[in-house]
Amino acid sequence: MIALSQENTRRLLAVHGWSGTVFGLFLYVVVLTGAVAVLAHEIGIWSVGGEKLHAPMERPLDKTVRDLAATVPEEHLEEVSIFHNSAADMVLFFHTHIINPESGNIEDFGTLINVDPVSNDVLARREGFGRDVFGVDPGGALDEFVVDLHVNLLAPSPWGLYATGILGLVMMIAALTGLLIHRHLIKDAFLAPRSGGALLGRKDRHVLAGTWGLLFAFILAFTGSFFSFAGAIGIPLVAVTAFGGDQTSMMETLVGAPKADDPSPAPLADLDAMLAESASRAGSSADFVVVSHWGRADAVVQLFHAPPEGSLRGSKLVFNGSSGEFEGVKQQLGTQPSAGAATLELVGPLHFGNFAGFLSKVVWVCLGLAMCYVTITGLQLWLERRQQEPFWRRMLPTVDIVALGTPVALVSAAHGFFLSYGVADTHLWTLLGFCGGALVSIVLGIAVPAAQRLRALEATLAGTLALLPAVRMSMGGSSWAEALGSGNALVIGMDVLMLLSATTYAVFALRRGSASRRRTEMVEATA
Amino acid sequence: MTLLLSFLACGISATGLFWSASYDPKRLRVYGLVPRQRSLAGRLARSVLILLPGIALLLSGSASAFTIWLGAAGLLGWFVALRQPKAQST
Repeated sequence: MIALSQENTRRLLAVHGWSGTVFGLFLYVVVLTGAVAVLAHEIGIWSVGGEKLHAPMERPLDKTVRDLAATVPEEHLEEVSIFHNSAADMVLFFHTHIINPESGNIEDFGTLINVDPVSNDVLARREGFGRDVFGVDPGGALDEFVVDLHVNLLAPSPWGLYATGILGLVMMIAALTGLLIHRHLIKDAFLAPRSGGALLGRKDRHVLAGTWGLLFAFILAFTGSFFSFAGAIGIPLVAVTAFGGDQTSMMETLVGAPKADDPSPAPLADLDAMLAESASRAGSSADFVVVSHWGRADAVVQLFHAPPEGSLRGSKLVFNGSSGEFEGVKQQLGTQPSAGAATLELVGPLHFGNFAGFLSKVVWVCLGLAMCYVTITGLQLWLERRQQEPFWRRMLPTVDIVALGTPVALVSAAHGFFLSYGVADTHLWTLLGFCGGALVSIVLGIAVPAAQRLRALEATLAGTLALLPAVRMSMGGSSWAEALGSGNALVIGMDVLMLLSATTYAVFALRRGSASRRRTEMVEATA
Repeated sequence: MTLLLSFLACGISATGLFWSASYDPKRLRVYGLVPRQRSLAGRLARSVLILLPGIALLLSGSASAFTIWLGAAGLLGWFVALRQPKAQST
């Protein structure tokens, strides 16, 4: 039990309630899209009908990369990024760093090439600044949209990032004040929601979900805020305070001194050999490779690895590009292993839940959805307690519309993607689908009588979810037999997940309808 | 291995959580049920069932299985507590 005076409890309750009320709906959208974004990789694979090849970075790629390097302007060989997209196509970005006249910042500029992982055919080739050449791949529209919505709330950079960072801080405040005001946290941990009135039951449900999810609410909020503010504010602040504004000195301390320049020509060592050695040392295959100073004696190859079995932390291994020799493991912070570096390396896995494959992702999705439940029940509690006041009474429909309208809009975004895949601009239609779904939810929420509102929204969500697999397949997406044949069981799993979710919401809507009918019959019988 | 360890740990903790919920005096009192008699040994056994899998995972060095267990234990505790207690013979 946490002992607080009545006055302090009242103050903290006000902070808890007001912070949740003012920012609650935005927080809900960020947390819900975050829960969905945990499966961004899987959504990406599902949206393009499956991967063409599993573990594409494990196949030989040295010759392909070398051949393509010979086709790009020499200045684009300053740095080469190699990774694969959702369809498992190899993506190579040969680039240099120049000032973008539009933004006034130094940005990546170069040639982006998509390569088929099976035939090695060039599928697409674009030249321009990073922000122009990335994000136009039609297959990546859906998963990128979900991530962008979570990270930026569709607001322009960096304001969206700041907004979601602030929402993370609000979530931390709500978790902390919730912990302090709930005096009997342990004693009430098993207290099932009481049936002595809707308000009491709702309060119990809110407190229960908040209690069991408290630790993760704090972890997810902290790591999310860290991602929003570390690069934009944190690092410059460290440079000013600890290094007197000397960014070079700061970078040398935090990242390490750059290798001495040696522009003399030297062929790049065998990439495949480096990939194999790196995978053997790291315990997992590399999922991202960066070659700096291609064709020079000072070339460096950095290979990024996901956490190996049993571990939470991924790794970055560095090789000498011209000799192919292993140079060491690069710390995320500083040049030597430290508690700070280890902590920093945990931020990503703890936020994304991607450290142990699908299982950890499923747990993270459930935790995210639990946080959504806490946010919405908290808002409903606040509003229902103030139903006597006209302003708060008018706000209640908004909570229902956002709570169910956001998933309707997300599913509509997927419809927009599938309907445009291969025939129109998927990025535009995914956005239009989202806006269309949001608009339909708002209209439904306003037009349908209050007693039918939730039922109408649940039925809409069930309908849009149920149609999704059929729309995907009718627009040329792989059938279940094709998906199974190509080893893409994930596609079937995602379809089944949509159908199960549709069934769940259909049952909710039907039950709500039955309860509503029973109430009407009782009123008529009494009359 | 992570998958197996996580499932095993969650299963053991879930048993402890169910057992704890069925003995929780406040939970039972609120629903008009007679709280069961609680012994120190019983409480200890329930706590061990809930926490031991996590401690074992931590000591074994399986950080990913431990983190999955930590997250799943919160979800399991929530689901267990959400169920309304049924009348039992005491």
